Amino acid sequence: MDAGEGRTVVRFCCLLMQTKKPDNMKKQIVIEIISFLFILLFVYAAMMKLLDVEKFTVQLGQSPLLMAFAPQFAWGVPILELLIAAMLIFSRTRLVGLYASFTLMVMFTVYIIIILNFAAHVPCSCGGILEDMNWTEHLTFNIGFVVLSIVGTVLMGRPSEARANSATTNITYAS
Amino acid sequence: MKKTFINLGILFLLGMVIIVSLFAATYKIRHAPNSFLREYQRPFLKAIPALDVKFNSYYIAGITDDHIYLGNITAPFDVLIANKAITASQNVKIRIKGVENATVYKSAAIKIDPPYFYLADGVKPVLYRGKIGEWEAERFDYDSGAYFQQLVPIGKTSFAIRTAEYKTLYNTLGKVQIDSPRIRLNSELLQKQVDGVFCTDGMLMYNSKLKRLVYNYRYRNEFIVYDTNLSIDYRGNTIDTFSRAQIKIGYTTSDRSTKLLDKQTTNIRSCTGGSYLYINSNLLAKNDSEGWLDKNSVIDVYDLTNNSYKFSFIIPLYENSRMRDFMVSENILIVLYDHYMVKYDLQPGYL
Repeated sequence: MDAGEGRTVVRFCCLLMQTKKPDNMKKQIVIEIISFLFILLFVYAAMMKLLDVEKFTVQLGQSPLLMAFAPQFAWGVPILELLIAAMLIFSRTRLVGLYASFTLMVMFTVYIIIILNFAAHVPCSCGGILEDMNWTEHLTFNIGFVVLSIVGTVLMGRPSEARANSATTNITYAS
Repeated sequence: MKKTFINLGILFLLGMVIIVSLFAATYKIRHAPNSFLREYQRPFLKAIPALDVKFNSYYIAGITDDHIYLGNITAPFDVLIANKAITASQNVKIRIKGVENATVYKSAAIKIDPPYFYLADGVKPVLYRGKIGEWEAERFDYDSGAYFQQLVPIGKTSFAIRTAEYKTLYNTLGKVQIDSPRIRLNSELLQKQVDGVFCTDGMLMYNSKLKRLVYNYRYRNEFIVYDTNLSIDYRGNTIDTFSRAQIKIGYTTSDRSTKLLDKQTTNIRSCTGGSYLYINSNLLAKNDSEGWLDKNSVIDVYDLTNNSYKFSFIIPLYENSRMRDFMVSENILIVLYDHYMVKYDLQPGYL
């Protein structure tokens, strides 16, 4: 996370100095910020889960949706979150990372919607301060992140921009 | 741009399919039909108009010849009395003699055993007794060290209890009474399978006609019939095949608590009346259609005199809600649904 954060700051400065392509530069900044937010979210959530994996297993065991798979998911979900965070750090894997973030956030959101409609009371198992949100706040929060990942992938997905991105990246590494 | 949206669309569907299939898989695992058959008696119940009791926190405390008594888990001193035709009801509050603003723990329960009513709080522990109609209770003299989780009166001076064994803390059946020995436990009755606590959970009942106590396990296909001296008559089996408690126990070091992670409840609740044991089963039989248990509560009936399965019947939904509590007395069946009390006449010829 620190490496990603540091690199983002460096790149941000480089981009500020580079004035030729203001449009691309803005897009690049947006992509960087979105990736950074996702890295922050996933690393934080994964750490909170792994720090007390026993408790997380118990919480998942109480979920009407996942109780049959609690032990596998207790390790699987945080590891997946860390993997996606790692993909978002490197520019070469960032697009895949954003797609993965999108998919994971969609899954979390669908999970919440099902829980809200089919279960009376279920403890949230997201870890740390994320647990303090109620389910509706959680839903809004998740949908926000889904939108962010869409913005990220759309910005990165444009062919011309993609090339420009790699060019920018090269400059960044050169500096 | 277009390609990105197609990708996002595919991934969106993929994510949804994964979560929905997880949900379906869990549902299927938990609702798989078991290899036993039920014999249904239909039509069996004759419904009689419901009584709106206003709260969904009532439980059935007891049924006498003329009245039905409900206790309220959120207001332990409140009693709702309905006439047998359930056309009228009144609320009374239990007073404790000589004590203003008495308090009891939330687990306290009211038991009706004419001419007395009891307010039993096994956490404190304390037992109050008073006369039905007067609704003034006095502290009943019994061993003050006898904590209990369940208590049923088995006469004027003795009670069957389920408690925790002193050393192991395993669930144990016992008896408390005024005369010596004031407390007696029989640790042989309940048999440990997993942890001795969750795995032996169940419902304790007294059948006054047969003068027998019945303990029905919640997580396995067994009920124990024993007499008031705590000697066992027999261990009966329900029709399903769950002879081992299917539960998983989790221990969290951070908040030092043991929790029930996963469980396959076999018997949701049970009651006894006449010579029969009525068990609200949570298991789908081979001849039950999928979703059957979502739409109905299934009651399996066993004859306690010869340890045999008689038949099953269903208690349907009422106002789209499932049964919360039920009790059989003579030829009537009282059922609580959300905030309604419904009376069914058990049609003669079967019982």
